[in-house]
Amino acid sequence: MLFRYILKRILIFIPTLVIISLVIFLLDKYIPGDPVLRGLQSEDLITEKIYLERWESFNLNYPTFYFSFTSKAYPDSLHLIPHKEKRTTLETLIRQSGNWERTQQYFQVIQLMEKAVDAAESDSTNADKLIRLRVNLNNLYDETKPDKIERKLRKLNVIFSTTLSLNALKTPFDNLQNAYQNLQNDKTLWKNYVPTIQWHGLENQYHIWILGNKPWWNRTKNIFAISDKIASTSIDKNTIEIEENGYYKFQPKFDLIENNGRLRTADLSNKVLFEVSIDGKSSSYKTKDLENAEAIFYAKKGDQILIEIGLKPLTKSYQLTYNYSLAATQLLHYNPNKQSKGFLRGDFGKNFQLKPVSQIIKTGIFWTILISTLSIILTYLISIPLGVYSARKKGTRVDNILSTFLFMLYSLPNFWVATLLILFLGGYLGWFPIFGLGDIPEGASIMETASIRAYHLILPLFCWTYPSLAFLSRQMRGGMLNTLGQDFIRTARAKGLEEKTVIWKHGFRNSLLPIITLFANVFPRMVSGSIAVEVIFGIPGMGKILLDAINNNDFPVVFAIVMLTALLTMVGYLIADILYSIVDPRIKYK
Amino acid sequence: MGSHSNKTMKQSNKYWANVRKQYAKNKRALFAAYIVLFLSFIAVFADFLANNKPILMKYQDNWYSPVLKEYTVSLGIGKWSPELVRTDFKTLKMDFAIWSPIRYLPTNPNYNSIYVRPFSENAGIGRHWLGTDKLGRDVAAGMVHGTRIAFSVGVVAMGISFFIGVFLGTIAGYFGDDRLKISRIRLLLNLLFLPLAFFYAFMVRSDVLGDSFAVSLFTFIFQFLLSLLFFIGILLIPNLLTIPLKRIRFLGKKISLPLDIILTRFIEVVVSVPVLVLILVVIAIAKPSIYNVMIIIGLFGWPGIARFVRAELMKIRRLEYIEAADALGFSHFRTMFKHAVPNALSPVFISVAFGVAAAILIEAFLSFLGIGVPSDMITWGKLLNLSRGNSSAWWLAVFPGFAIFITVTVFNLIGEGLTDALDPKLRK
Repeated sequence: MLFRYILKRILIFIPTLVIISLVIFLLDKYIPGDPVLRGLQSEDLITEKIYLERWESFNLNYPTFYFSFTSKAYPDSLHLIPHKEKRTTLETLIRQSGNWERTQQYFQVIQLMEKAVDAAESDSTNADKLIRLRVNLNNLYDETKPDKIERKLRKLNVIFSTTLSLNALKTPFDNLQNAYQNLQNDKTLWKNYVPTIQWHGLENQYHIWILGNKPWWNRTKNIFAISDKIASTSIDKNTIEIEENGYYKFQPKFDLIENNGRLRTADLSNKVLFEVSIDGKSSSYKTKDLENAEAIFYAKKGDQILIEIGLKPLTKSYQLTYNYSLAATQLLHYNPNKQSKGFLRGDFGKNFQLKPVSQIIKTGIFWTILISTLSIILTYLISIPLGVYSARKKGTRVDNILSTFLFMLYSLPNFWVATLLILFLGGYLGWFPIFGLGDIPEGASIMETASIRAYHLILPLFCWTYPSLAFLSRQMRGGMLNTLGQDFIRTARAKGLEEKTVIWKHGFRNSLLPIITLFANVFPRMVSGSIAVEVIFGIPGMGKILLDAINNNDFPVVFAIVMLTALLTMVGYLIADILYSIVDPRIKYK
Repeated sequence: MGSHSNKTMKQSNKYWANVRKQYAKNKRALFAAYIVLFLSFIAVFADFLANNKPILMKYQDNWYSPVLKEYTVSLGIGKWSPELVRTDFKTLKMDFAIWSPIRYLPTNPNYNSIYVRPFSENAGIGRHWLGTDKLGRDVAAGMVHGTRIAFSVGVVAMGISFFIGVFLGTIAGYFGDDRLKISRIRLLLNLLFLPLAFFYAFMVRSDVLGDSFAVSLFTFIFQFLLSLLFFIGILLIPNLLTIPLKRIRFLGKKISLPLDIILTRFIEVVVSVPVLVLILVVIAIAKPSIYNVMIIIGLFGWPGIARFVRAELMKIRRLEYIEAADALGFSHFRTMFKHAVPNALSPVFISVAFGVAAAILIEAFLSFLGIGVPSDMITWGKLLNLSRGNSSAWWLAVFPGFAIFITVTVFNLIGEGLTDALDPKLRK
């Protein structure tokens, strides 16, 4: 019966966790601004390459959720466009035209023209014109109003008609004008009114955040050890001999024209087909788009790998205008490190400096756990006897004074007390250090270290402990009073039992509930720390990390701590509920 | 009917008189109530108690009341007379003037009098009763205006919590798990049409809504209401379709909605969230504004109230007068909110009193950390934080902290007093 109750309680725990994680995930997604650039002081230093690297480190190259609910006009691959502003512009253009194909072409032509402008040689006659071209083109990425786009295009036209040396750029510009005309002419607005649900599968940001995209059960350790050896193998030839056993990831790179710039197309029609044969056994792979072409396979030492690549026929508009060239293909050792293990396996992602969040949190967790453990022990040691004593002396002067005192203590905000203590005991009287945990001189013995730390921890520990001490004492008193008024206590006394036995054996056991309740709150307080105390006393625990992260817009750290706190709160409630049912058999297992 | 309602009025008056009597027996709680009254007075009349303009003055043979005038000006009704625009009233030669007890605004810096100690005489007009901060801003004025901010946060946040809590608690408690029955087909169609309605009303119109926001708030509200109208209109379809389809026996079979389970689960989720941490995060994301602080604290404060109301309504719905209302054919809505809820509210006030204390504490803590409250606003928590910059400025730590402490304490005391007064078990 008890077991079934616990099982049921755990089953309820799962949907609650899912809902909370969804809320936190949504909050994260609705923070204004580009998630790639969050927390960075100056955005000028971010080149396209760094931008894309960051974009991938945050797993933003995956769809947001398992499914999306949009109109038919939207493609299912918008998430592959890294820049948020460009994505927003594209979305608006899609809603205006209802035609994704045309919108996409228009955008790609802008990109192509940008590249052509970058490649164009500048001389004294056209240098300023090129700059103006670049600025105007860049503005087109943000422009959605038809009249404004037309005005920009007219401006560009003027530049071309007045500068003869830019004739080389005329063709891309004509393409741009054509693409815009096509976008205006081929509207399929009805698509905007057809709702669709698109399924994105398990490889999405939410799933990766919580569960990770690294397989839960396989022999990945083996692969990790030999990662660098093969990474340098570049292949011009199509046959490679494998030197070590392991998983390999084959990633061909396709670049547009001769230029090195990376084009991220979201066009589904550009599928890449390639075949990987291992010792005669071949398997073919198909990719979703040009960038994400990859094949992961297992090969043994000495295996001959034959790789053949072919492109599926391209869509008409592409064949007319552009050619794809196959740039360097390489065999990369498949590096499972790039994959996320997910929140539940202790991988909290990366912060804005691309450091693993779990490492940042790890540094703070020691101090928080230390202080909260000490605090809990102190709380129980003092408040239980105090509460019981107060309840026994109910109505006396001692009880009245004690109750008033505890009530005042309970209402005292601990950030005020901490400030006052620092001001008077620390600053004015100089009895206590006011900040940090103290410097440990080199070669200090354990005793010395401990005494320095203890000296620094006295005030924080006091401020950390007294609110819960006051709370628990009051609860204990209330619970004890309730119990002592019951008939069975009277019976116990009538039986002639010693007062001590009556109080501790009969009374105490039945007023355990508040103690368990406080115990349930230990876990969440460990994680979020007592923010005030840590911040005021400069203790590098979880609370301080959280506040620093909030001030630095370091949201991966913030949400990791929030999620961790929520998780542990729920675990705390779960444990408390189970303890309740063990302590008090009257609680029904419904 | 008239005499009947009179009778119930009298009875309810008697009930409240009894509660008041019980409450008054608790001297501490009674004292706390007087302090709250006093603090509310300060909060309401903050502009008259601390202002750099006179309350009443005679200038060039005309009588003015600059404090009142400022209200009309900020509402856009009145206008300063030309010679008084941008005047420093302290240098104005007036024939007669009644000044506020504290002649400063909390936000006006004065670089000639930084870190003035409390009660010390100073050369200019008006004493700095409680000293000044690092910019020479008057602490007493900050305390007075901080009272207003603290009280408005407490009241507005708890107001929001109150409405959410009472509404959800009532529905869950009144209907329970088995009293709200709807036919299978109605449930199915409504679930089906809900995303559709959302799609056509809000997603398709997202550009219209976004553009209208740029035009003016009024157009946005208009467009939003239009969207809402679409939403309701589309949801009418499934409910109209239900009428004929209900006749089919399988589709028309009634199932009960487990509203109580849904609410209990929902409360469990909200309670599991580390509220302070989440408030910190949300406020850090949202723009710094005292209204955001109020709203967010309010949005997380309702579970206690909902639990109280739910428990009360579960008792009340079994009472005869609710059955009578049902028998008379009153709608659920009318029975719930007109007859049941007013009788379930008294225990809610306990929760509200504690909630106000908690909300004020959270606001003070947030502004102490410098999160959420705009930089040009002076609150108790902010004053307290200023003391960390100068360890000799003890008055910056003592007075605002004491104000927070007293306010939190008196609301807690009121909560305790109400618990004793409303709970007949404790009466002896």
